[in-house]
Amino acid sequence: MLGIYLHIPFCIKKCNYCDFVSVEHGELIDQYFSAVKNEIAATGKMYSRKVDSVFFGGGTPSLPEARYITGLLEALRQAFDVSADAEITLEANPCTLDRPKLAAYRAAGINRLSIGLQAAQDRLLAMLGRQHTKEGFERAYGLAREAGFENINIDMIYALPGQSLEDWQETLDFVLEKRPEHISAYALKIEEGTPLYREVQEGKLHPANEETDLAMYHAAQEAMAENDYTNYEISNFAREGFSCRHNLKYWNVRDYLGLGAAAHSCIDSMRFANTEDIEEYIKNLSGGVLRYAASEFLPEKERKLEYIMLKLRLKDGFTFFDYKSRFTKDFREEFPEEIRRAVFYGLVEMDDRGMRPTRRGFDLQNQLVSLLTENL
Amino acid sequence: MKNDYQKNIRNFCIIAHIDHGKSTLADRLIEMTGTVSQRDIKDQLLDTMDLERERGITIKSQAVRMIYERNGEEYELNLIDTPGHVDFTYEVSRSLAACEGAVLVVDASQGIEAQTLANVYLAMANDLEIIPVINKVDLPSARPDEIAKEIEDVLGLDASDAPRISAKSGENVQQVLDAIVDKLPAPSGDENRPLKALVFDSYYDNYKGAISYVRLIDGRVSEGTKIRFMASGKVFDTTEVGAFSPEFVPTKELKAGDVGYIAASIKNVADTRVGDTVTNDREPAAEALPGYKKITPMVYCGIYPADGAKYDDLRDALEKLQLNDASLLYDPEVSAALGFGFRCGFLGLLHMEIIQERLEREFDLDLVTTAPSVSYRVRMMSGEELEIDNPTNLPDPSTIEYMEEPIAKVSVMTPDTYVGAVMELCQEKRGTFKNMEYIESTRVLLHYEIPLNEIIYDFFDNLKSRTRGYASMDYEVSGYEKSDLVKLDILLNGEMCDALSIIVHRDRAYGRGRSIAEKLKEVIPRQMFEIPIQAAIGGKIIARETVKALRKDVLAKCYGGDITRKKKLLEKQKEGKKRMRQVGSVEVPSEAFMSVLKMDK
Repeated sequence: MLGIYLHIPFCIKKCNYCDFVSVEHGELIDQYFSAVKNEIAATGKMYSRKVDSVFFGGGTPSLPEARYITGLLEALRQAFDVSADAEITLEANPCTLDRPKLAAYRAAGINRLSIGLQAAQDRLLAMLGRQHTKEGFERAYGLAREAGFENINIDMIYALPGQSLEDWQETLDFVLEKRPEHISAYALKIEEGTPLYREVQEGKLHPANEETDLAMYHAAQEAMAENDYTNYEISNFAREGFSCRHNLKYWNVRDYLGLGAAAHSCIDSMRFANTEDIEEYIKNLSGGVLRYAASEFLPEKERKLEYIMLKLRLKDGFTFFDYKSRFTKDFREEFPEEIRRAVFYGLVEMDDRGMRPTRRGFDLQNQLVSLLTENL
Repeated sequence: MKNDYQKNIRNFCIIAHIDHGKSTLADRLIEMTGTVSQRDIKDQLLDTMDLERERGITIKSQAVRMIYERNGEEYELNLIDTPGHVDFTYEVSRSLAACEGAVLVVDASQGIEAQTLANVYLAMANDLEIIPVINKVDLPSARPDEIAKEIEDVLGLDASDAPRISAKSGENVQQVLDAIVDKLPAPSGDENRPLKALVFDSYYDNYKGAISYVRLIDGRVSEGTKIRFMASGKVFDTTEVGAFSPEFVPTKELKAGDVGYIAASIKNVADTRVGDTVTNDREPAAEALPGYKKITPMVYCGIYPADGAKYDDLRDALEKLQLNDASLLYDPEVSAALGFGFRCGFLGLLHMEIIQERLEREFDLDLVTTAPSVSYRVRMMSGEELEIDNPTNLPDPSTIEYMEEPIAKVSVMTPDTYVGAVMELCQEKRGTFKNMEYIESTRVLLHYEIPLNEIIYDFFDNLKSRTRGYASMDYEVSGYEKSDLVKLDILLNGEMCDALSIIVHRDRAYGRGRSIAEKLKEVIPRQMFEIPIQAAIGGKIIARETVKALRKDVLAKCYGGDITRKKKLLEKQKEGKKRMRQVGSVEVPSEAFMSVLKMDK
């Protein structure tokens, strides 16, 4: 089984905290989509595996006219064996959604929407440089439900400058009241080079402190649990049966193919990525040339590191059987001292079958991973 | 009775305070005498180490022979370049002893500084003829007349016809060359008397072995001469003699009055110590030249490889550095916190810094160094006497009758507006006031006696900051005094960290304990548990700080399957961890062990 990610690097305006590859001018849209079509055609021949998840991410995949997206999906179905029950997700910004667009998505087989709300206070949305209001989100969410979407994710960000615990609680209440199938709640990371970073440097904004960050995270976990959402990954929550199949491929270290500029792939222990330069990408693919900007075969050491780093983001962790089937060694025999310390510090739980992070292990995931991989 | 060949030789050195232009003047002299061709000229010619060029200081002595024509006669001018720092006072004194004269360079705006004074007194003690030179006269802030007067008033030297030069532009530098020929005495000494040569430095050459830099006082030496070092008693066969140009140029022989080098397949620089006398083994001199001292380190610290597996590399590196630096001492030691490493002894703080920096740069080693210590004398109840240079080794206080610590004579030169600040600092550092002299109407020379362990702590940084950089200092260890000393221990999460222990005066223990605990709180990263940092004297806690526990630490999401960034972060953390030392359950960054030394505020 294979998951396919398609990167759509266009936005009305880039958000103040965002450091992903995306541009604000749309004049390249036409050329870009035909380039991606070329990449689909070129790669389709190489993979015979069934595709059970497709994810349009960005950027803002909902920004271009719907025909671009449906066109890609069509090309994908022609080139790859996309299974009938595949999970097909599209990321959407509330201010770009309307009835006809949503209907077109539905008709093309997109069955999951991921809508970015981030915060339920207009002043925080403005600070983040979002182009929508709380009301705009409500409208978009309503339209999506009306259009028949039965699997919707809402994205939220916490630990924002100027965000109080009450603000966050209000956002949580607002979102939970909507009963989406899936919720992502990430702590804001202020990335170097973003406008937000500059404002923090200049002292205009003050990042949340660790106590607040933690309190907000715990508040989210509690609210979600009360409403029957499972915290199946550090920052992801889902109602029964609605975990994100595509994203689980990353965390379960399964194969995925990334198409489009800056898209990353992991196939059979090979990691490779397209150029981040959109024009260069268009130039390469307009002639049907696949040219990866970076590719590496991961030595076992690195595969172990990635495995531990990714698997321990999941509530269920990993089983020793799975580890052994990949690395032919028993995890417990390989890292006895590291495991002892991780257990001592209350970061993981173990039984005969496997190891999973505790709640504290989620809070301190970075420490947990560094500890376990210290001597790798 | 001067020999004829001697009348055209001048042996001299240049003395100056740091930054007053010693190396620049040397460059000009070499250039103007055509000793080094234009294309080989680079700045600070005699400072061969990168470190010397960067810091603008001279660490090792160098020598160069220049040929200069005056009034139709050729003169051989031997310049011996001396180190310019208090750590190397002994080396300077031996270089001076190898000369008949000195060129004293004084900055036309700065005037005389503490070190200038110390070196001039050294030169006078060696009966050197001194030529004062006023440098940097082209700067707008230059006040050559005042400085000339200062030289006359303070040093009692005639500065009426002192060359007023700009070593940078070359202006009037010729006058310096002329003055060297006209004013400095030619060497005397008898080539027919038994060989007596003063070793003023040495250099280790991979092929020729340790090469002695010498000034011949009497006698002669050439290839085949069986030489004996009078202090060490070691005997060697001379394989080559020669002059400095500034590279080695072999000559037939060296005679009384000459400056040059002797190679004799000497395996170890320790066998050719600075200040020792070389004589002819078959026909030895009756007595050695005066002034030889076996140099003893003043400052000690532990040096450990950041990566324990690099212990052998560190030992090899120290061995190589010692080849050229007999004043560097090292002995293996083991620390509970830092593992296997070396206790190293240095002439002073600068010497220590230089060695550490060379180890890291030239040998690409990552080091963990402990706070420096001095050597204490411990008198036990049993009557036994111990020398302790590592605080960890201090015996149980109940077994000690008393302890003594080294005391330094310190002179500080400062504009009079800062006298109060300097006195306050010296008092804080347990200094005893000796006296105060006015150098000129607005400049003062203060004399204090201060325990050496206070000086190596943060005296110099403090002096500079409290006088806005205007004060200069010089010090010399003068002896030992009884003192009420205690061992201050640091506990991390309840466990003692041997590498952080220091010996300190009882009255200072509380303050130091508090400031170390505060400093450690800043440098120890938060970990998964709370870390109490305690300072203790003999089990009694005198200060406490806490590093709060880390409560949330999650790497950002991996978007679209791009986990490379996250992996890079992890790799970076791992690199960081390699620079950490495990002290009990606590991870301590390498720099923590030195940071306890850094200035408060």
